[in-house]
Amino acid sequence: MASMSGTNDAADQNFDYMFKLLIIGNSSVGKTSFLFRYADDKFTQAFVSTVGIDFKVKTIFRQDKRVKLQIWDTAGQERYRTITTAYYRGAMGFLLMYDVTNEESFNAVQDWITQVETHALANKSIILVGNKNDLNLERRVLRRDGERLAAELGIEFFETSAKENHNVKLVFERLVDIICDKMNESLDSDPVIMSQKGTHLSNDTASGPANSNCQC
Amino acid sequence: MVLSYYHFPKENPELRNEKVKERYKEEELCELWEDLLDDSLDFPSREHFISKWFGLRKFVILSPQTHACAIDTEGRAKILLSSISFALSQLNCPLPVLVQLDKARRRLFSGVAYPLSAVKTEFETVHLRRIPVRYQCAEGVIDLLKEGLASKCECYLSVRFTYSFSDWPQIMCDPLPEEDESDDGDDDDELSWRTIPWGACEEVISELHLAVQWPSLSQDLFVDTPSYSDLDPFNAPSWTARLRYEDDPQCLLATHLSQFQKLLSDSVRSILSATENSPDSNVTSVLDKLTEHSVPSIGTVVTKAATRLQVHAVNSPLTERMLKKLLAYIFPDVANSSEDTSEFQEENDFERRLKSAPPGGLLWRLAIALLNVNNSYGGSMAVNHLWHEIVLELRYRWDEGKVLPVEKEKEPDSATCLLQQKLQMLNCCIEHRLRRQHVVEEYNSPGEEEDDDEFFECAEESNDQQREANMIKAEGRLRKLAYQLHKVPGEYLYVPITQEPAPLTDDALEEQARVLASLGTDQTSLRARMQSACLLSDMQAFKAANPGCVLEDFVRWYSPRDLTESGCLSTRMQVEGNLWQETWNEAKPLPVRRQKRLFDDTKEAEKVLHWAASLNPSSLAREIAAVLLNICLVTACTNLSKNSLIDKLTTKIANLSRNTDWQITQFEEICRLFLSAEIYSARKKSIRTKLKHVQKDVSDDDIEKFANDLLDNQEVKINGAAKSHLGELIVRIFSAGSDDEERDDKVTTKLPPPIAKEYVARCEASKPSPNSKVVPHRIYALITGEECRIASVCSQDTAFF
Repeated sequence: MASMSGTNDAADQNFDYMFKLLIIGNSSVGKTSFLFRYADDKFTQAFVSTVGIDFKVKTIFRQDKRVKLQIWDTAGQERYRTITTAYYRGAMGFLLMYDVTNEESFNAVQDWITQVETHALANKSIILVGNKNDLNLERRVLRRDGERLAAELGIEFFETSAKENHNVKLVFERLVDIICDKMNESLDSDPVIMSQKGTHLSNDTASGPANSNCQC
Repeated sequence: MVLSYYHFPKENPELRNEKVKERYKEEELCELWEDLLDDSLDFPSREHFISKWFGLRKFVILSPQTHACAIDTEGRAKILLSSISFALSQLNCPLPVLVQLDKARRRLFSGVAYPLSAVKTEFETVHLRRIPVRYQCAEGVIDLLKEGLASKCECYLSVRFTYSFSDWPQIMCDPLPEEDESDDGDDDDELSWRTIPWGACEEVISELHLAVQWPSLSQDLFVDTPSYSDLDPFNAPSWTARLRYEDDPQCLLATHLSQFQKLLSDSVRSILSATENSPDSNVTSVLDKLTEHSVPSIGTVVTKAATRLQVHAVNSPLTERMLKKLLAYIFPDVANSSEDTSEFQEENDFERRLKSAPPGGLLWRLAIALLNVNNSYGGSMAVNHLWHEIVLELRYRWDEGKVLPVEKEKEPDSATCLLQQKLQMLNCCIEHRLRRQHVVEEYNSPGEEEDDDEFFECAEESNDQQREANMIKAEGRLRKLAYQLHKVPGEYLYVPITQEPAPLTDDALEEQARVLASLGTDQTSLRARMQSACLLSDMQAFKAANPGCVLEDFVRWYSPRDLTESGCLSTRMQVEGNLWQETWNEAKPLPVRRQKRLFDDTKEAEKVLHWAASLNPSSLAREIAAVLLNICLVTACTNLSKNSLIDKLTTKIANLSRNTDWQITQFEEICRLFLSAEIYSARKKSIRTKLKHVQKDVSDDDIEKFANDLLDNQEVKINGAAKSHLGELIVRIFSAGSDDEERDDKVTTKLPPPIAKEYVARCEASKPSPNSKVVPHRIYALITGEECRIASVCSQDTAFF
């Protein structure tokens, strides 16, 4: 899961894990702005509408590990579905974003989830994000509707504003934590990785010689 | 030297031996006494042998680490034991410490403990080939125990006799699968290479053991001397049965898989060495052999594709006839036979977890054929030959425009393995080209009426005379939208026919992502430009379908949210010189028919064919391993009911199939699991057959349960011992081998002589003098035809002697 190999782009090759994340959601819900706010701490209203797929890199320090994030930004237009869904399989985490001022983008969330379920790996993590919550006057989707939907889907939910830098960092860090936890879980449950430490007491040793019972 | 501490906790720690507690004062009772007097520790089925010999639950063993430092002289043993003795008494440590003496395999132990103050306990073992007849019975064992005791006492004895049955008559054995040993490879037994082999090649159950037991008999209640014994096994209160198995039985699938594993770790070397061994080879022909299939020259390809089934490779272990059969099996549409692939049609839940290929599909058949060809028809040379033919067949399909019998009209599915994706890709190419040629043909055939396909709406080339002042005839319309054009009121907006983006296999996608990522994070606009081919194509098609349109119209269809309510472009679309505007300005009105192809089917097909041709047997085996293991898993499931082994296999195979860099060791581990599954299923089958043969009064359900108990447990207690149905069943098995078999209706009340007799005798007496404390003593004796072993625990009072 965690790739130890870096790509050529980053000057910083010094990291413990590399996670690939994907930002998806309807067109113009603010995916590119959100990513720019996180990676470059900039905001402008005039990002060119993404064509195909783009990415940014950020290295953070989480749970005592240097985690390099390769965050892929996708075009939201219907026409780009086939191109972007091809990238789902390689991603460990998804930020599914809608625009709180646009009901259609909220109604499409279920659709996006279906896309993820079809194309992504079984152990991926998803976070639901309601963006543009600074535009309170134009709000069409209530926070509790977002919360309810997230609960139904069994995923976590945040309202954010890329413009006012609200919750942006938090969302990414939360997603990284969820992925880390999942990874640790799967390590723990794998008996091969759990080395048999300590003294060889009790039942461990019992089975060996007992096989040659009776004649001893 | 290694010091190991063992502790086997009681199942019910609360349940202390009440009798023992009554007899000893609190300060004279210790854990050791409780254990020594606990008859539930007589003949345990799974504890450590030290536990069984000395009746201990807690002990420490000091054993030499290597052969060289074995304690092989009496002098060294004495020094060691007295040092331990000193240490334990100084520390007031009640734990018994046992030292392993002599060679490890003799399992001789001597030990000491200080369970109470002023009490010393000694542990001794004796191991002999033979002991005098008088000690080979209960009486003799009791005499040994009482030696040196100062007071008279009553002895209690537990006895266990073990009987073995191993001469299974033919009729009680499963017919064994025959190994297909076709020497000329020309085998008519087609089933042998069309199925996944399963099962053991030999009998897997060696012996049935019956142990009869008498717990804690008072010595006065019975007689067991060399000349007479009234210990009749049929009256014993406890019977237990257990199975003994053959070590490392040969199993079919496991053998095939290990051969396949050799193929995996095989490299070019093996082909080289194989050819080198043939007498008339020289270096150039060796290299020819290697290069021939990987880079086919046009000449060979053309001729071979034409005679693709007649080709006969020199030195190939596969005969022409066999090869034809194999190809007809893998490509059933060639032979035009209604091939029955229903074999694997069952749905199972593996599909979602494994990155494999559709059940029963081409790759399944190929995997099965490769497994068997590799195992029985000539190893990697034969695999190489078969694959060579398959690549020729693929090329022939492409050249002739015949789709492959893999899932049709499906783009490479990233939920399947790479090989499957490549085949799907080839099919996409074939179909794409067919469609393309079809379109061109129709378009070029004159006089034909325009059919309802809107694609051909503009049959004639745009003609200057037909043009109105600023109106061009629209081309390539798909459907009408309910919007009117921005600048041309009254004209509706049409969705154009568009080109689909090229399908991608996993490796191509990875490469694409790598290229995009390698540009670095700042090259956003360059990346967008690189991906703008599709946008340009769509814009061109849109312009062709909607003469007089502007970017606003395009955005209305393509990205409606970038159009404000008043019909203006959004801010981001208005940014000066953005890619959308640029591309829009660049785009000429062109219907897809006249556009540059986004999907170059010829190039992609050649790529697939080249990739396939460059696979050597080892890399081919690697590409198909996940599919093969998937099929094996399905086979295992049909032979074994769902159990933990299957779950483990599924996880391991899923991991392998999802990891492109999987290691041979992963494959090896899976093979071992398959072997365990195969052995387990063979044992189950075997014991069922044996039990069914002597079934009689026992119901099928009971047989099933008994068989499962025997397989899953070390020992199975027979409730009701000899008098029960199961008890009778066991006796019938024992008499099945003898000549009395005819008298089947009369249950023979006879068992063969026991192969082992075990005794545990215990008593409580004072030692060394009558005034000493009364303490427990215990002795264990095992007498078999080959050896005698005696283990004694003797305590003595060190204060009053």
